[in-house]
Amino acid sequence: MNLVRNPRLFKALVWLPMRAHAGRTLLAMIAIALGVSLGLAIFLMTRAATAESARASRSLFGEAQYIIQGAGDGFDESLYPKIVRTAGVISAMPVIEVRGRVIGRDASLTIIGRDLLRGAAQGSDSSRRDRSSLNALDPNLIFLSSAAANSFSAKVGDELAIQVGVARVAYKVAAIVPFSNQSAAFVDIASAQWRLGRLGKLSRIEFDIDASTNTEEVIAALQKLLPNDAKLTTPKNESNQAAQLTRPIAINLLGVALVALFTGMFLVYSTQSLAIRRRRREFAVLHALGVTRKQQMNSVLVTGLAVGFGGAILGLAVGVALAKIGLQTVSSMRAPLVIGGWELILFASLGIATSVIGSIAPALNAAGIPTAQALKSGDIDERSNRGHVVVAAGFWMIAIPLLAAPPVFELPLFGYLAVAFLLFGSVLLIPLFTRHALDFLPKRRIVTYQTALAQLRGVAHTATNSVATMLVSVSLMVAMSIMGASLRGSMSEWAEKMFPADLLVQMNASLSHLDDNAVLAIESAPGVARVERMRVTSILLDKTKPSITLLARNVDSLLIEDELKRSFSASLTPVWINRVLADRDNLSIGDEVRFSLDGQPVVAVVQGIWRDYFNANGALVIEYARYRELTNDKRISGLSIWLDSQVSTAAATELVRKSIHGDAEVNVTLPGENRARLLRGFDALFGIIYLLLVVAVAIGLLGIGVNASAQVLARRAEFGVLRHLGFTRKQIGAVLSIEGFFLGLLGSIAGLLLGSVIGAIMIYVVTPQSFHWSMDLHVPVTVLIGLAFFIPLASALVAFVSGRGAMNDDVVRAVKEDW
Amino acid sequence: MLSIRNLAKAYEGIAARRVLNNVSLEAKSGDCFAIMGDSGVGKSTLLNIVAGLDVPDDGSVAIEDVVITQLDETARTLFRRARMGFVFQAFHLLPHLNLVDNIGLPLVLNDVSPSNTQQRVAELLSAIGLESRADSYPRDLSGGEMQRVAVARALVHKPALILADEPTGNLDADSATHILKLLRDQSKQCNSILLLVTHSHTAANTMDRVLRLTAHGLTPAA
Repeated sequence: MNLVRNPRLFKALVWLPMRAHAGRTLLAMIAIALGVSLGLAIFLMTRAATAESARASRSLFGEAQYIIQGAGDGFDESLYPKIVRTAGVISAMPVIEVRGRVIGRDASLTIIGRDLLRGAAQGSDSSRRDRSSLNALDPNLIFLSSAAANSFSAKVGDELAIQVGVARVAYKVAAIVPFSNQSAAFVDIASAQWRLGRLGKLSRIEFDIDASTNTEEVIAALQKLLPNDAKLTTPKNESNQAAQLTRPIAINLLGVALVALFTGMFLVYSTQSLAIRRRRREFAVLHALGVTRKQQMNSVLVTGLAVGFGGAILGLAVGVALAKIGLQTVSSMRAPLVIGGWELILFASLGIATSVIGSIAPALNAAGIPTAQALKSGDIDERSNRGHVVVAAGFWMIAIPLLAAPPVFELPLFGYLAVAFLLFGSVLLIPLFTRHALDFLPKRRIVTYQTALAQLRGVAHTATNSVATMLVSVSLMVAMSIMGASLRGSMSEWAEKMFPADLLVQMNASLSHLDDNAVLAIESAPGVARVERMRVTSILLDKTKPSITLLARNVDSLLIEDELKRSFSASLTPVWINRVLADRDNLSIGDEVRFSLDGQPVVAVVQGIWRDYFNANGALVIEYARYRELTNDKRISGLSIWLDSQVSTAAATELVRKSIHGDAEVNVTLPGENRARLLRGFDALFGIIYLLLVVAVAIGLLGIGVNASAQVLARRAEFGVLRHLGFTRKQIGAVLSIEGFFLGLLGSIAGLLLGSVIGAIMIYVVTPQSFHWSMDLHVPVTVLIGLAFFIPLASALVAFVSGRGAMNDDVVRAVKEDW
Repeated sequence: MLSIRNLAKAYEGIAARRVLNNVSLEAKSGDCFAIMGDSGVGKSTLLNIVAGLDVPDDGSVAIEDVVITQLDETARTLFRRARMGFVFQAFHLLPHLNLVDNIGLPLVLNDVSPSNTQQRVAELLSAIGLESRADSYPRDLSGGEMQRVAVARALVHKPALILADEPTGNLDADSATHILKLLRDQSKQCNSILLLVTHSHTAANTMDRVLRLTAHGLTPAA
């Protein structure tokens, strides 16, 4: 007989028991709903953001099938006629792309220079069609995307002053055109080259390949034409590569969100286990009446299924709402929220599966209740939960080699798996831990204390459920706290080392720059002791991969992780690469790398690997002086300024501003401000993670509450006897609080120990594999001490509140039930 | 027809002891037996084996020609569901089911149609005098009322065998008399065999035959 197919049986064995304990059922549902909603919301938000970023990126490339993409300032325009002449290449379009800053509107803008007349004639995008009647070749006209027009409130006919490098270019808005959500503007390519300082240069060439030709042969022919600083790719590839940069953050956030679900699973397990223990005699009666073992097991599993289903539905609704609010709140994200059926099914299934998995052990337990014994001795389960030392040790042993495994698809899957095995193994050891830990507790001649301790020892097998739930949530909280503190501390040290000067000057737009004259003016300003220049551009190291950042700067202030000790040929240029690049291209110190600077080939050797929390696409540092020797590039992207001791930084800042242009197109910051900004960004990200973990700990505390209230129900007669013997309500409350305190204490001790191990795995395995970041261990002593105090006290309070039923007069009457 | 032949059962472990030895009993439909005996002699064990909740070391139990001691656990459960009824000392009503649902549970388990279930439950509610409390829950009843409901639950599916383990142990004298009469009358009406385990001579004497369980088996009580 099937429980689901027989509604009367479903009602008797599943629905009515669930309804009888609606509070506890709802709690378990909320725990599942939290995990599902957080996971779904993060998934939907990151997907919307990634899709929008990819869409925006694709829209910039037009509708061409292929592109030849340059790095940094682009490549020489002489390549264009060669490409056009290559057999099979059709519809080739040269493009200039420059980032500028709209003066007075505090907004950056991507300016795209194209052959506008040809674009309009081809009618390949609406932005071009609408302009066909206008004088598109007028060098003073600019066509704004609607997103750009909205972002700085521009309308047709407005004058716009745009800073590109040290130059200011004035444009008049000719039209506003619909163009994705990207803040972009279009000008004619010919005028763009001379007005935006890109004479003789192209950023890319977009083209198609004639379908009647052999594509592979055409591509091979084109590859031969390409200089070192250009690569052949597709718009899809480029936008995918951009999207991949954000993938680790999305995956790791999702992982943390699923922690809430994982904790929810333990709460379901805990709730179900306690329900089984409390309904032990009931299950025995049902078995005597003819309910089979299988039906008993199924009734628990179906209860788990129902809890999971309810939690999943609630979680989906909350998740979608959270994602909507999240996308609206993050102002820079104009991405529409797209909700597909499969992700709803996926997250609902995760919630349901979690609940069912959490119900498996209780279901097996229910099916194994010895009927005759349970009918006689009622709710007292004499089977001891000894734990599974061998299985636990097995899980731990499996976890160790997993820590040495490499990432899979650049994700630390084995690292996470190791964490999961450690958690499972530790949970299995909890009964043993609890039993021995209780023996170590000091003895006191205080009646409430003695009673609480005796009770805890007597029900150690049920207490382990609470401790296990606390272990999971506390250990993950501790692990993330240690990881967060280590990363924050390391970032702070990194920022301090990287920016040692008194003042930093950074250009606002990535392609803006200062020239030597502006720097000379700063150097000669009174109070300025020393100035260091920095140039930031991009280069191609591997044509099959995205371009990387090239930093020409002083290398003494890099935080070096590993450096070459031996000397090498003076003809080789020493470079220092960040960990991202080292991992991406499998480079080590001493390796030779080749790239192109200003069209000239450079052969370099990896002198060192430096710690970098900023350049996620890979970065290479070269000494500034060496960069100037190798190139004619005199543009300067930033300055580090040391001041004379008697000069105030405020006065110096003002002086520097005046020396440049006297307005706000550059950032002049104190290194402390820079560090603070970096840490604010970090705190915002980790704020979300901590919030999720606080939710997990709250679920863990609820587990203690569930245990306390279930114990009170199961032990009503015992509390009644205590009241008969003269225990006051206050003393019963004290017994419950002491029990809660010790359960919380054991959970937090186990959580601190396991959390420290998981924290170390996060620092030394998961983060380096996810983000290619290394860090030093910083233990957040205050937070951990706070947790160690907070958890037991909160547990005591939760147990007291949840068990207040034991303090009312009903328990006195409950004694009668056993007469 | 109930046939118990040469049952034997011993418990192993630290407190190893033989509780049943050479226990035999033959009963036909409508028979009402009382089984008495000292504490620890194995009365409950005998009932558990007859119910298929425990297995003997030796001997057999057959009900309506089905040798339940040869059945596996699931088959025994299914047989128990269809052909046995139970009355316990501590009533053991399911707290989240009202009286109708508690009494009707064996019919639901046996897949009896809702209309037949409703009709049969109404008959029994009337027989135990609780028709006006049909929607009440066990917590709203007195001990005597709860045991009347338990008797109705044991009889609702007209079982071949009713096993009652100290059914009056938790009741006052008046309630006990009422329950014993109800149990006996209803068993006779359903043509069921009633096996009642009790320490009470008064209770035992309301049955057709009184047997004494000793270390040597079942013997007629003096």
